Amino acid sequence: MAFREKLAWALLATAIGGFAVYCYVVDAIVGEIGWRGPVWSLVPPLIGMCVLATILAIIGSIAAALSAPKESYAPADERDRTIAARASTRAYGVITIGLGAIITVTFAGLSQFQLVHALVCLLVCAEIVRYAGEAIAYRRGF
Amino acid sequence: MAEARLSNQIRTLRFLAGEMTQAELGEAIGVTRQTIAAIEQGKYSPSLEAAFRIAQVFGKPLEEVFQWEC
Repeated sequence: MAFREKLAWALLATAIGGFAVYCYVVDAIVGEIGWRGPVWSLVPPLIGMCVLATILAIIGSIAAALSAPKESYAPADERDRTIAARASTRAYGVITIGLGAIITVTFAGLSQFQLVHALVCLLVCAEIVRYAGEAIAYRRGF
Repeated sequence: MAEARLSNQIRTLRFLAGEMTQAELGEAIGVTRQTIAAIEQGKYSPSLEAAFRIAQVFGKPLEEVFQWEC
């Protein structure tokens, strides 16, 4: 497996792992204060997810680089850039559709807490789609 | 319309070029070994520029390296 494919899988696992922990914590918060609690109560799980995802991403990147030290220094070639561009386009599509949905639902009386949670979910989903798109493109070709 | 597919003779041409490795070919045209492997396996269609560079390395016209199969 090539370095950039390993990196894509590692970052995909990181995004899913970080998001799972975030959802677990938010679920506990919602169990306590409901969906209409103060928006700042989302800050600790949000910071926790960012810190956890950063640490996992660093560990994953180091592990991928150690398994292929020469490749890790090589700049992205045309295939890498094409894969990244296609994956980013898909992620952008997710963000566009998701934002449209969130804006629509906001008119139905979304609380600030729900709005921030929905935006975080949307951004993480877009990242997951991006990394999954890259990993699958490296594995199966396109 | 039947789906067209880009095939290539890179593996054969590497063999005829003294068992040139994928890494050597990749280095010659400025891509990674993995990209050459993906092109050989038909998992990636190279850019026109990369295709011409590959043909140039083997000293062959483009149509002898890449074929468009309908």
